[in-house]
Amino acid sequence: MELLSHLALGFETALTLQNVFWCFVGVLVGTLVGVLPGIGPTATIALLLPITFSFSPVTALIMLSGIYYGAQYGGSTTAILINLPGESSSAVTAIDGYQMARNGRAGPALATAALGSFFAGSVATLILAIAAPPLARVALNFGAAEYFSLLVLGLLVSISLAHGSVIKALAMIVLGLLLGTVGQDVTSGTARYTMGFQELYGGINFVSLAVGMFGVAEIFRNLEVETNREVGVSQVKNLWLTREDFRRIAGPVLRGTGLGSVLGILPGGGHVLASFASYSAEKRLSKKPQEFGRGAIEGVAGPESANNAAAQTSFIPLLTLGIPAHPVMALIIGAFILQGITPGPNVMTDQPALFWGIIASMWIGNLLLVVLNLPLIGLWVKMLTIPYRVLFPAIVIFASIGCYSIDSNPFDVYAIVVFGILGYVLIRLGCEPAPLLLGFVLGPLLEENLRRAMIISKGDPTVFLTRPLSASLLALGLACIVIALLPSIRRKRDEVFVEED
Amino acid sequence: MTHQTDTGTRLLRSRRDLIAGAIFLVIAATFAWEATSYDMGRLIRMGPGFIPLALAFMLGALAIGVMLVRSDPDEHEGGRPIPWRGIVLVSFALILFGAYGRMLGLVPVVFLATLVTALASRRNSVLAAFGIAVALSALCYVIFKLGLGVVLPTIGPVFGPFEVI
Repeated sequence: MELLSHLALGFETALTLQNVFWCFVGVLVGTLVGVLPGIGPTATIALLLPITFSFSPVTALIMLSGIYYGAQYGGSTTAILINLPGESSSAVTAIDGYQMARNGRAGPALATAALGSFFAGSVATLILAIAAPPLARVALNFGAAEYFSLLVLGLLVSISLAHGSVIKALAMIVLGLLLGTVGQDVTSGTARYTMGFQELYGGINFVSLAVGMFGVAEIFRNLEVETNREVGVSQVKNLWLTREDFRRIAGPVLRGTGLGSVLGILPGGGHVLASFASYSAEKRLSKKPQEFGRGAIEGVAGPESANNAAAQTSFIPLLTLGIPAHPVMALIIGAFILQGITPGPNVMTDQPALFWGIIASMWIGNLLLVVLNLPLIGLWVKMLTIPYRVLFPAIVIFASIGCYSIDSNPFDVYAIVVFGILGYVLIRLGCEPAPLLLGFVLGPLLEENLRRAMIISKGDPTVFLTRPLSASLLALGLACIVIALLPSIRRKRDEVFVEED
Repeated sequence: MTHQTDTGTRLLRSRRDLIAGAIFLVIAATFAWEATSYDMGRLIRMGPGFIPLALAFMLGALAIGVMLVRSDPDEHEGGRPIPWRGIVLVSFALILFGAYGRMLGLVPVVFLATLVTALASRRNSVLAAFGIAVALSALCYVIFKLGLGVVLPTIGPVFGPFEVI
């Protein structure tokens, strides 16, 4: 079996002492930021990118991926214990999880979340391992025109699932694309929009932009109204599930895993959507729907499995096509590029050890997470008592040190200020920063493929519509926008995302 | 979610759209203006100015769209105050770090920048800010200097004989 030999290679790579250690650090940090409301995985990964420069590519990516799926685990702890989602996708878990905690069943709720997540994560990783090679093979046949259309599709789909106004999201994408053009033009060598700054020749620093928009802007948001958070449950006892509990969660976990695996592939907010979809499915299927909202264990098991499955399968478009499904994946693309690897279908054939190593590390990471989250739960409860006023200075300082140490360049630290303020203003005006980041990351790729496609087609712009694959990708993108604009979908979308903030 | 329809909320909402649109429009105009000084090329071989100009026009069109199309009802916006103190102090701390990090060295600059940043929250007293600054200086020394070996000196050249690399 080809798959087995690939996985053997993967485990061989991932099980070195160094990689296991950094995988552990990744999931530990991920759990930490998942637990602490106010810092998300996006800002964290941006902060830690500079640290990974000195690592080998596989170690760096194992750790960064660990932060992402680790945060999905940690987010549920906060949701259950203080009714505040540490992560947007755990918003649903808070509904029944917190009620369970109030009924004195915090232990079983946490155990359900951890076990459901572990199961879903493991299965979804297997799906990733099986689905990735054929998809990558398809993508290897893509020409410049198809790639361009695929990138456009990726950008358009991301808005149809995003929160808020579609037209603002489109504007943010284009703004991101424009910011991506800053720096020396690859083909002609012309310096664009550098305003005489030598520092801008290599383009706007990706880490500064991400840290500013997702870290500092978020701090400004939180400083608007400062609130205290209450930890309702100070001690968690009796983590084990009864036989009855196991019987009740089996179905939701399986269905949640299935739903999450499929929805995770969608760009945008697959994991958020997955947990909401799973919750409403369980509620509809349940014989006792009135229990939902009052501490139904199914309402924790389903969504938690779904969002972790989605977290894993959202690596599929990234690893096979080089297209990020959401901001975190955009940052991981950034990590690939900084390591000198162009993400895309070639990674699997050119760097099999890297590709399969990352996948294998996900199993190891998921296992480590169960260990981290169940026996050490007391530690995370303690973490929740750290007030935000102590936390945010640490975020600002880590951001400064991280950005400064990339090139020892003060300019990168100043850029955080610019993007922090710009991000804050735009968020206040109802513009989400995620599409901007996607545009910024994909911009150079988009431009390169557009120019190449034009050269190949001898300047004929209809090439995107006459090549069938390219045309269908564009049509799909257009359909996404139209659907997002339909009133009935809009209402549904508002319902789904209203809890997210 | 409450669907408020009183004129106050609606005005506020449309004002937000107008400002957002205006910001996009200004950015688009700036990028377009600058793009005209680059070589445009032709479709078959696009110059460096082609795509930025096209994008700037797209952004301009979307900006006008943002101004005209009424956006989604947005619930919890509006009344929240702008944290001027936080914005000024956090920005100042970052600039401080960028400008004097090399001269002061890791520990002193972390101490100063943390002190400034911590005061951005009204909940931190000066004493609390001092405490956070001391704790974070120690933490950063352990993580970044001992652990990851950052390029910044521990205590910078500005301290003369007390400099620690």
